[in-house]
Amino acid sequence: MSGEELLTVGALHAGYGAAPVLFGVDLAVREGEIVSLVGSNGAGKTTLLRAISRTIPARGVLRFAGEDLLPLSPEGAFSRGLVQVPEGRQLFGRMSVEENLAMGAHRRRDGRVKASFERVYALFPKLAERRRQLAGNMSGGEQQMCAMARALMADPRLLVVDEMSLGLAPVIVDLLLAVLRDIRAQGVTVLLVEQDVFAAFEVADRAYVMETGRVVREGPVTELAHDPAVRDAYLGAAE
Amino acid sequence: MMNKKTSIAAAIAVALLASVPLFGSDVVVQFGIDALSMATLAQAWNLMGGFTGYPSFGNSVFYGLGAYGTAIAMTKFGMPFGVGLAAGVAAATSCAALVGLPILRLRGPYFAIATLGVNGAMAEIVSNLRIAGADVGLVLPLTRNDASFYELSLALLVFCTGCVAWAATSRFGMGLVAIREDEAAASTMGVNATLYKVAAFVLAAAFTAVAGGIHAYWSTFIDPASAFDSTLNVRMVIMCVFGGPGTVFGPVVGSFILSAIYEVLAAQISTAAALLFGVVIVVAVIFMPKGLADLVQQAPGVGWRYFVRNIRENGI
Repeated sequence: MSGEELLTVGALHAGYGAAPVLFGVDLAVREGEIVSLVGSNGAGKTTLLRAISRTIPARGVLRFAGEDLLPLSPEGAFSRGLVQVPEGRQLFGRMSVEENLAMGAHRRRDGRVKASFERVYALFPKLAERRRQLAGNMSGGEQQMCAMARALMADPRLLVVDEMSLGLAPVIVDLLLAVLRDIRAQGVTVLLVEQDVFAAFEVADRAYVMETGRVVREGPVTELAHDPAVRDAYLGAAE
Repeated sequence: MMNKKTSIAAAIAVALLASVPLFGSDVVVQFGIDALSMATLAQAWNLMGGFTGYPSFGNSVFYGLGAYGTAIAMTKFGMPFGVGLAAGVAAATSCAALVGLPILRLRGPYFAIATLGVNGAMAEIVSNLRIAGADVGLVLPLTRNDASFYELSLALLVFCTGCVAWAATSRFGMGLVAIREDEAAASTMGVNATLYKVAAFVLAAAFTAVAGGIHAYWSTFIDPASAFDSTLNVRMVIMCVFGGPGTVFGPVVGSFILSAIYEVLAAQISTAAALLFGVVIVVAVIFMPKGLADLVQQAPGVGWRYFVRNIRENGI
């Protein structure tokens, strides 16, 4: 089911000022995949996302749908369909759900925004009920749904979800994981960045494990879940 | 988009305002010029302070540069008024772009203080420029045609409000509102925050400069103290906030009402007018902190409880 390489990261170096964080990261996401990026705090996951979304400078190979991303601005990457659901959701708290969703579509020039509204409301029926409610007054799970729906309104080719499960009840996480599968079924490729390895491995096809700015393991989640090193470090003794 | 009813009401209002010089006395027309220009200033401030959430105290710089650009072009180079206005706009917009790039990185009170500093600095620079008449000022060619100044001020206000109405529903305006609500989130959603903010600042500067140029030619005399008057900027803020920041018509209606109140108070009790005007503003901020626009939308449903709720939310 996996097609062409949509996102290619090769020997990528990036950091903040003089402090390097990433040391030659290699990663690929193929069209139609759900790829997961896991690792503990400080492994460089968020830095990698910032480099991919072009908010920090980087060296190496960075291609999206065959196009070199490195010279692009953050808006340029966004317009080409590389859309993030940021950690902490970053919703517009004093705006309604519907206004938040409209913001997601604000750069689109095609006339299919209305269809997108219907599509995200079908994925998240809860948001349809709450469309007039202020985003800031909703529960954490609903806010995460709203953030994901807002990103989908931008009509992304690759949806990058950062720390989706952070602070959410397991039952909500399961629901969101199911929605990720639906999103992929609609043709959107997903890169899921998670600290919760259980959740990540449940939905992903393949995964990358990062430690101190490097990718230390990669492969199909079925293999990684049985990799002794990964099990010891992230999955604990539970099996 | 603006709905049909609003457009018709706005068109009728403009037609009524345009006919004022036909039957109004000189005093009324002169008051009208001031009120229209004040409304334009409040509306221009609204772009930055209302939509983008950057409370500028540097708009008086653009007003002053517009006035001086017009005055210098007309008196020193013998240019016609239109060229003078263009020179003023060019000076103000380039200042907005140059100053905006560094100071639009600051937020909230820091931005306000920085813009206030720019105003003080610009007043000092101009009062030391020989070409600008130093601290003596400049005298412009005398014209006595209040009706044309009135119509010109009205046209500027209509154009400025039209631009704000367009911005309110466009991608540009949505981006500005997103920046106001959460700049980091706006960037994640593909808004180039720096570009949008500078663009809004430059647009506000252009309108403010034209108002300054018109006023300079009308009053026929400018000096640094009157052209770079920071209390003028405070009035822009008050009128915009009174009417409803971030709305299309709020600042216009708000500044008309406040201008009228001030005029009546000044005529009736002269010296105590400023004091009473202050009381009006304090009461307005306590009872309707979100401005007239919000009052008109919300109060019919909840009645006097609207005011009680505002006081509670203010924590007074």
